Amino acid sequence: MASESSTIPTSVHPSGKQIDWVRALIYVILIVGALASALPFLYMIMTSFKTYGDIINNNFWPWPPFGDEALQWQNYPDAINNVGFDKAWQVPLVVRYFANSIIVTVLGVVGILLTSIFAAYALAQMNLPGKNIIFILILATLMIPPDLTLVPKVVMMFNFGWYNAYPALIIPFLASVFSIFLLRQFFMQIPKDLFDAALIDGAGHLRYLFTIVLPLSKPAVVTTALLNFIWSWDSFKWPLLVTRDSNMRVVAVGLQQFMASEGGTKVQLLMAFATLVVVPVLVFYFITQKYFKEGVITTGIKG
Amino acid sequence: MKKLFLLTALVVLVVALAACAAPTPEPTKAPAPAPTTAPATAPTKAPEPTKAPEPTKPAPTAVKINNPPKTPEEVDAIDLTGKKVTVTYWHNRPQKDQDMLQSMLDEFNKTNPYGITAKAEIGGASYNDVYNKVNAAIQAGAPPDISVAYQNQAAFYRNQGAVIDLNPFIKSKKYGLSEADLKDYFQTFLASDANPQFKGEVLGFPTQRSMDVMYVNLDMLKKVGYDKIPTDWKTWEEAACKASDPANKKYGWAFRHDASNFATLVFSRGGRILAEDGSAYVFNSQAGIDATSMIQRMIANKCAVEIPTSERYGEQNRFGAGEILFVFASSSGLPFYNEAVSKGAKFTWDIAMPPNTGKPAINLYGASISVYKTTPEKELAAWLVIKFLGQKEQTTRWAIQTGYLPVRQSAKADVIAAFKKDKSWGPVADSYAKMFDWAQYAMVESPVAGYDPVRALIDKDVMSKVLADPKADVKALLDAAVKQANAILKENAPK
Amino acid sequence: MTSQVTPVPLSATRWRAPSARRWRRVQEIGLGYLLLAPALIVLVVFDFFPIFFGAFISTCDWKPAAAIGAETVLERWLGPCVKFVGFDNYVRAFNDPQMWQSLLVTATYALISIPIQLGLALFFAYLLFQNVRGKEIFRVVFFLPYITSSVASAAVWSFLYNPDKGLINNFLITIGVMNPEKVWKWLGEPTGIFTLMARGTGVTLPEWLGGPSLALLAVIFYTTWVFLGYDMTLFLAGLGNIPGELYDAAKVDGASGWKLFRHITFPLLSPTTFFILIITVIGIFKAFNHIYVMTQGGPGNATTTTSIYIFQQLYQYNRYGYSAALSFILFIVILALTIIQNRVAGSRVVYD
Repeated sequence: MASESSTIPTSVHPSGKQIDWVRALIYVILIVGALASALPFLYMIMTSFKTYGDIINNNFWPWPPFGDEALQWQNYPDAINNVGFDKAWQVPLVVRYFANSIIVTVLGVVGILLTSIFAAYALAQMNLPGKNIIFILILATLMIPPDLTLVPKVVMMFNFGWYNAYPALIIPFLASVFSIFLLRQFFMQIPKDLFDAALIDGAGHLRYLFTIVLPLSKPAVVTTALLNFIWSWDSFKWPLLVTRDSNMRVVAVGLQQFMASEGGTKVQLLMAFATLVVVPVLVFYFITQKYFKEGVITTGIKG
Repeated sequence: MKKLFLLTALVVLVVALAACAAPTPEPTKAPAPAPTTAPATAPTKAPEPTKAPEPTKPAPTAVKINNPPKTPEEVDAIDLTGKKVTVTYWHNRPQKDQDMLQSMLDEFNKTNPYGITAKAEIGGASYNDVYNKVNAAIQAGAPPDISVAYQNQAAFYRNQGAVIDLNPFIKSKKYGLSEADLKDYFQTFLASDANPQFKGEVLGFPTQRSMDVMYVNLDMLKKVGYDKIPTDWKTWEEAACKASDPANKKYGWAFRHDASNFATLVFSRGGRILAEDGSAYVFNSQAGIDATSMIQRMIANKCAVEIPTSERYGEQNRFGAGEILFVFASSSGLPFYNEAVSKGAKFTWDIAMPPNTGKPAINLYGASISVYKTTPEKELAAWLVIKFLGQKEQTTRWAIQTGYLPVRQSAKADVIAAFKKDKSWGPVADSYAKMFDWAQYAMVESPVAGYDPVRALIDKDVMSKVLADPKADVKALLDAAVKQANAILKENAPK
Repeated sequence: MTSQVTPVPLSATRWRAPSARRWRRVQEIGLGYLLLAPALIVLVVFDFFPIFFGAFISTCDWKPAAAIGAETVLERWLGPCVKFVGFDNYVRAFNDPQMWQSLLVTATYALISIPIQLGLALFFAYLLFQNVRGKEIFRVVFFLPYITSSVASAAVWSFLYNPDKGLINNFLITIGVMNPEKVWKWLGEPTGIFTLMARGTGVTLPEWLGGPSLALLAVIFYTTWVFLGYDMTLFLAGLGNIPGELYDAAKVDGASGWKLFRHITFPLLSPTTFFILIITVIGIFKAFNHIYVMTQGGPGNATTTTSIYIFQQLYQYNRYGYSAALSFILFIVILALTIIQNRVAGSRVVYD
């Protein structure tokens, strides 16, 4: 049985001094790598507390001990107000962007969970004629690059009358082949005996699904939810194509548009806006850490 | 089972609610021409046989209104009473300007006798952005009623039949502009909107204008030994080279390599981008060669620094930090440069006309407002909104807020006074006043459809090449580019 | 698969039992398809049907505005096909140098990204595998770039790369590596890196030898930053799955260090490597958000991948038919690549 972190032997003799050297080097490299991963975030947050003058004059650290400026907390309300105002809902546009993103992402993730859990269960645990053909067809969808269906889907939005409306942002994405695949993998690991036991207790498929299968599959379900949340929160190209009014934008589009206008020069405001965009996903990630790690690993290995 | 059903029902319900709640703009249907009848007049009396016969006026017939209206009479016949028409205007200014624009339009909504309601919206972050969005909206059948559009963009829309000719509206007796009114407009501003590609159709009307002016760091200029802003290219180049100190990130000229900057250089050397009759591109003239060679030379000598597109507003931010002596940029950037300098290195600066080789010329910027083809009533209402925004009071307020030039000569005095009163402008207020004198030298790049690909061509195949290679053959590059540009011109000619 | 046999009381007559079982079976099949239906409906309508619709669009001069106000459904859907042009869009694509250039850029992107990304990820996974303390913290930090919105992180990187005020250039100048007179323009530099390096020594290289543009490399560096943590996590898991006994046995035979890696670790890691390779290639062909935010495909065509080009044709030029044709060409390319990938790499993947 493989251990979680077996020590791969190095070619160095177990002499105390030399191993310390190597281990120290390992730590140094890892820390440098971690810093490189985190640095852009630190830069983003730092810049969001600077003034416009700091941006122009290229002041790296305008606060104590090298300067005497205060942290510019008002960049955050300023960013929210400068981006614009939505007359329809009578809120700052940024608030509307977040509301749109939350609506689209939450409904999308819930929708994907429902359709994927059901489909994955049917494919994994039920004995259906033609099941394998359907599964192969679904897998084939993975082969379809998103660019291939881009133009026709946009035209379909025109034709359905969904252009510049929420359905265009939500409905085409209510099913996710990746999620079906991931969940099916997990469901298939659940022994059939459990179902037989449930059957004897008088439970049908659905009761079995909700009371036994799902609780056992928490890592997979959480991973599916988190990954789809991340992807949906990040969606940019599609909303850019199918929305017209600024108050129908999602946060990713709103951020890019702000960067193309005032945010391009008032970088401190742009960074404040970017920080606001990044934080919700980070919070969700830290909460679901435990399950997520298991889920990613499962997808990777059983690939 | 019940839980499942409830959950699914909940999701479906919410999705349905969201679908219904979101306002879907009604796709504009193909409008049917609405014929209106003019009131019949009594027949004239027959003249007495002994007198010379008086010419009789023909009885007015019922006027058929086309969409778009083709004659001023048709426009006169449009009736807006009780129609409660709404007009949506897409522009590209930030929120502050949007608020002011809407407050002006609110006044219009309160005072106009036709029941028209006008609404301003930020259509995009830049002119280009608005252009992309409008195009997509046209395809989806949901364009705004009016929007900002450059002359060549309006021509592109016109090619698709999406915008209308405003001549009948301008000349309409009931709703148009009087001779006096038209004369009050700066004539070069009006002239730029008559499109040569479409036989002089007016595809947009101005409510603002700006120019590609030269921003100058006066303190730096003095430090390198010049008391006056150079007015010829030779002195200008010398000054720029003297001011350059690349080791300290200082350069004489921060050059954003886009076609508009190129055009400024060409105009000021007596050249043109497009022939006056719109028949061919002519930027490979000697003026073009000299302009391009200067760019090539100054970059190689490090007298100028290139601002890549990825360095957004780089010329503005570097200028504000006191690193640059000269920048060519739109005068509509005046408030932004003012802020950058006052928060940045806080030096004395000014704007000036670009140097020239004898004949002054300046690149005219600032889009006009185009009216999209919807219904005759909406089009008329849209025209009235544009007319309102061009009136003296509105164009004055807009100019003071944004740094654009007002479009009427009668507004000149008030705007200049306001700039002078605002001490934060310093000497720039005086130069702003000078821009009105420069207006007579204003030239437009190319108002024809398909100019955007040509801009990209000039940028990629000429500018970028000479920036990368100090030995590139300027004449060959320009000739090749003109050849391609003329092919694009033909491809986009009206069918 | 165990059959779903419910125990039937012996008292039931024989003719009743089969139909009860069959009815239950029918119920089960019905339920099964009912469960599959929502996902299948969405997939068919929004993934399968568009393929055929897209193929149709690619054979037309497509102008959606032409069908506005159409009365019948047929008019609405077929109306925008203002003119049937058959394969013209495809012929045009083949003759379009920008299309080929975009494929070249995409290929360059992939060929450079993959070794760097996978190599670095494996390297860090290997390090992290050495019983390092705080391993979880490291993993979480490395993972942060992957979960952040690509638009947000691309916006931040745009300013890190700013030639005048960006952190990267400021840092390089401060430590003396970069000459302030010759700052690198990163995302704004369309010149190939070989040309740039040759310039430093006074040599002028012909354009075709110029190599990938610095702008593209800057984008690649960003992509590596994003995916390092994700790939590393997968490699870590793969490493953990290699049985410790194999190493013990090999050590007994006297093998050590690099030999162990080459003959045990790397081969047994191949399923993971293969999987990461596939998703990386898929990701590169789909790559859009960060390129659009950082360079919009520029400067010039330096970072215009085929995905960006397809988008530009649709959004900026309103060429629906042409954009659709381009997407089919891209699809063929991806398909060919996948088949080749499966043949070449698939045969090298070792399963235990």
